[in-house]
Amino acid sequence: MFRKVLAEIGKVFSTGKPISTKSTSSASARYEEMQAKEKREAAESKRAESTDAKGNTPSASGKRKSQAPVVTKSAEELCGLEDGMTVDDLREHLKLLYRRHNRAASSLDEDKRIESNAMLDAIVEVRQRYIDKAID
Amino acid sequence: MAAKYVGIDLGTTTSGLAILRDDGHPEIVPNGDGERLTPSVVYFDRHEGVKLVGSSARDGGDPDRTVHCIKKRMDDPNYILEFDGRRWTPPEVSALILAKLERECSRIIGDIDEVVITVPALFNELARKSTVAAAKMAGLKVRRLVNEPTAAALYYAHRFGIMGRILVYDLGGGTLDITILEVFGEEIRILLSEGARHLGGSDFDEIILEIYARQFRKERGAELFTDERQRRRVLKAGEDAKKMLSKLKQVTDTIGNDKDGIAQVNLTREIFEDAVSRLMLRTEMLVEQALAGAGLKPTDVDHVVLVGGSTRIPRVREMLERVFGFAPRSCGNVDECVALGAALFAHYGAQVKEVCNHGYGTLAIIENIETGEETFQNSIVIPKNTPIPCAESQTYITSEEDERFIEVEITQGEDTDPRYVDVIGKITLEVPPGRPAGCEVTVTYSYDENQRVRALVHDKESGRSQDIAINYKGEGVLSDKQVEETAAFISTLRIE
Repeated sequence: MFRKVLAEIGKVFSTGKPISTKSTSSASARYEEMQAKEKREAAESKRAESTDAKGNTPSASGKRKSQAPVVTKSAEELCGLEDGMTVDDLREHLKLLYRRHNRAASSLDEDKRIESNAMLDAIVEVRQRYIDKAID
Repeated sequence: MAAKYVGIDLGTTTSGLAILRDDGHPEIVPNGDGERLTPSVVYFDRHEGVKLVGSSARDGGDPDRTVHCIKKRMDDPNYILEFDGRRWTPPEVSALILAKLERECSRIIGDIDEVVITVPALFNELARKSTVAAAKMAGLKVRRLVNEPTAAALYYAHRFGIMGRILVYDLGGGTLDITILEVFGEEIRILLSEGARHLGGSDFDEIILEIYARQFRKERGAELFTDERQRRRVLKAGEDAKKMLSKLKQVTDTIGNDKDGIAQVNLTREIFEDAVSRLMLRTEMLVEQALAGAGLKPTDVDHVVLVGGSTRIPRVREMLERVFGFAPRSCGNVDECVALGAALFAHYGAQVKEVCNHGYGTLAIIENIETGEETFQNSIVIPKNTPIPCAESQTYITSEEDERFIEVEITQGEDTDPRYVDVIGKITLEVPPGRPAGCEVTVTYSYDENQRVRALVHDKESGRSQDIAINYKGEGVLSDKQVEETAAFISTLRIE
């Protein structure tokens, strides 16, 4: 829908009146905000994962107050599986994820590469478990 | 007399040089050790200052002074090695490999004037730039870079005289590349290239290493290796076992160390294939992605060609036969066809129509006119797989009054989500004060036949423009001056 709107605007304004996109100088600022927000959310998520059953979190010095194990997401959770997904839905969903993370596994950013490799592992695990087994 | 058409496959695990003979057929040129392929391994000798490249580097010496698979680091702007007080970047190490090939092969074929060098299709801008820099530092002039599957496809088409739609599955030491192309007469048209990194023979070797370590731990209650030298030995044993499993269903090996004794390990093909099944599935998903990207079904492909030593694994053939309904082919020696194709490309490259391997764009806030919703996106200017050379433009408008600087961030990647693309450059254009919002800014990207991108920003209101070629920053990124200095330094080195 969105791309269709863009295309129609392009036709109407044939003199080259552009798509109403904003200046990239404010886009830069937004991008930095978004990155900062992501880092905060990732840090919060790590702290939440390491919270033990009593609700204790690691102290500021980094030492844990408790010995609770770190909770990690399952492959299904990482891939965002939803109830009611058919095999075909899942296949298409995994294709999109694979395309995204295969590309990101070549990122110049090492953190992104690590994250994407973990996602690729999760994607193939889900595929083996829910699609290839279903076919067999 | 100078050798006219020379191609080099600078591989993750082995490298090769080929020339085009007068009869029009390419031929591999052996190195000074008589080997057709040179292991891409460099040893930094401490005592004599000599740099060993190839089998002698791989098979002996202090493993802490031995560099393997440097190609995997060619796009890492911060990766540095240090030996004897000198820092070495990945392109500088690669230059030593190229220098060995240049020196030793030129004794057989004459001076080498220009070369075509192959790179994985997924190599990004930085890795390609690093490869060209490595060649310069080795004293080589690069006529063209060509993608490895393209070179292999050219060799396959030449060797067998085939026509039609070909899918090249190139699984080498470190990367997987898949290219779909069409061959009609003398012309080759690339439709699409896809790639995956850290997916190759060296990754399979690491898996066998883990199997051996686990089995030894179970039998001897101790660690199989505790230092790099031991680890390398086991890795080599694992690689040998992997190769044997391409021909045998089971391999029995003896592994051990000086302290904890030895143990016998049985590695069956089934155990190996099960252990690498997830990596194999990744390759199958890349095949599916390539077909979908080209809008093709498996039945639309006429030929499937195998390239790279890792395609000898029987599971690879089985998978491709299952997907396509017919057996894939190889062009004889799967390790050499890339170099042979590169030599052909040196002469016939003009007949090959290539495509952009990556999409390029800029970060922008996109407003939906109908709903007023604003989203922050990667706005793609050159889509991936656009035929090259090409130039594409996209026009934007400024949103603020009195903006003094227009900043355009250049992205590489195909995703519209900015989190999944790389920002590879930035242009800052200074404009006069007192401007209203809504001024038009045109961003033009041009992409040349070496897969290098240039960006131009033009402000309509002021008429000002700014253009750049992409430059990376990082400890491992060399300036032109540093490349020249290193070239002079390498020319003085003894490389064996």
